[in-house]
Amino acid sequence: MNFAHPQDAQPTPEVTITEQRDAPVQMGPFTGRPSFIFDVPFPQAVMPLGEGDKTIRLWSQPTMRYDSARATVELQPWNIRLRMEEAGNIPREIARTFLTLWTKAERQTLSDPEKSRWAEILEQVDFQQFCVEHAPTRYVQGLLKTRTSAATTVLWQDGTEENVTGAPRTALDLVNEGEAFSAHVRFDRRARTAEIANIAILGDPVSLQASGDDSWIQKR
Amino acid sequence: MDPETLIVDFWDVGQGNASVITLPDRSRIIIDVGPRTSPLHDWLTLQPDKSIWALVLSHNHADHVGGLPSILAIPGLQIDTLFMLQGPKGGGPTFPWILGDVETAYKRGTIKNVLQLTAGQQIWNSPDRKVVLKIVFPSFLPGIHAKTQNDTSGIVVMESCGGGTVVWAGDAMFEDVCTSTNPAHPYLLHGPHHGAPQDYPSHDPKRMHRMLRTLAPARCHISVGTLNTYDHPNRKYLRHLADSKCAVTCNQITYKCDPRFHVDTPKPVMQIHGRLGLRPPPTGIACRGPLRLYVTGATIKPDEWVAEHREKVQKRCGMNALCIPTHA
Repeated sequence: MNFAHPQDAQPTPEVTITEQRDAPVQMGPFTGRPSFIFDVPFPQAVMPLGEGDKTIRLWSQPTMRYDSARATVELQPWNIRLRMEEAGNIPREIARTFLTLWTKAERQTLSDPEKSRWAEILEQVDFQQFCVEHAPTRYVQGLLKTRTSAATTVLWQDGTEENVTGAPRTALDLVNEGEAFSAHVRFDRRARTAEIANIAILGDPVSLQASGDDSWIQKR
Repeated sequence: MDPETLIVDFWDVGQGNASVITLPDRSRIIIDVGPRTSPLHDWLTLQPDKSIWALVLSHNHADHVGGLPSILAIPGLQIDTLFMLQGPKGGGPTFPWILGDVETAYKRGTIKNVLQLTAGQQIWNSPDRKVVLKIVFPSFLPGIHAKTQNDTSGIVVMESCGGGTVVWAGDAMFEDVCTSTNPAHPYLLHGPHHGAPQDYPSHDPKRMHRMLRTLAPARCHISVGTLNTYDHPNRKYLRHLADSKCAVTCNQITYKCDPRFHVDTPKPVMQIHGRLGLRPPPTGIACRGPLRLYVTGATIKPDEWVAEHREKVQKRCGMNALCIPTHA
């Protein structure tokens, strides 16, 4: 499956002048400035968060509305309005707005207007990618089956087998073949292990198994 | 919302099952936890209150319980009662590892009680007894359902006095779903077996269709992963349901509905996970994503995105969508 993001290749933004609200130009000394409203697609598709290892990726370009009379720029449906000279802060404001609404959504504290804005914003954001990047690490156990020069094969405790490659593979260097280990892992967009931390060597996998006599069921 | 309302979330965990029922007192009942990559772990980790009234594991397959070891390791988690089957035993060394984790969690007090999943157990009921959650299958009494303990799947039913029933069919045989669900016509049937019941179509398709007509669920929610390698869901089964006026939804889209999904962008049909404050799984392309039901003693209502989803899936997949009736 091709996971290339459609926004990776950016088309040239088209600028449209949607409205001219100014009165006809008066003869005589210039007293005000002409007023125009420009609608421009916001060209940046990936908003960095923090140090940039986490991102917010947009499926579609939101529209930036420049209002020359008020000297403001507005981004909808994000409900972001900034002074024109602060337009460079739009990625930061997008990230802030998204994180604020996401936190409220997870805590079930969105107000009704926020709910509808959140729904509109979600239509523009690759939420799955965001959640993959923001997932906490999780505890797992596995058995290192084989190690070759190309990959390390791990049998995870749910029965799935995975060829671990790249950086996570290096983390398994301490584990011998046939040894069981526990670790905290994070997955990528293909459910492959993207990060392994806090490795503990558990030794012989037989010792990890349940007592085997089913007696635990009756222990209650 | 009525303070006595139960919120039932059928999570999108890709190929696998996981449901969370939030009780009126905010404690939870979880039915299956999904695979190793289940997003339920990430969500539970960040919940301030991690108490679980009951955890029900319909059966011990990786796509239903694979996430259990990670979930049991969440700090602060408290499970009052775990309902599970005792097998399978012959599945190699990996499943005993999961049992080992359950045993460890039981010993350290994370799980207070471990009960064998068997018909007749009542998991929860409302104080006025208008909503009841119970296990209806399997029964291990000889001569009634003489199945082995290792090779079957539990069926859980929620009965609302005035709203109807919700059936968690796990990976049970379709015939078992029909015979153990009483009364028929459930409001929602979840599954069975990711939209591909193992006994459908059987050697007697007419009988199966008759049973399906008798069961006649009003809604059916299928938990199927875009990237599943089992050729789920069963095209005929879904078409049959849709044509018999059952409102069918799947958590993820498959090539059967959208043959071009592998060349188009992986944009989901809808991202309802986020709207509900839930998380998506790392893989697959959401179609309906999760489904939420609001259950009281008098009614069962779905979330507000039923019509919007239908419209979007029709726009994207046209008549290829298995949830759209052929005569629509």
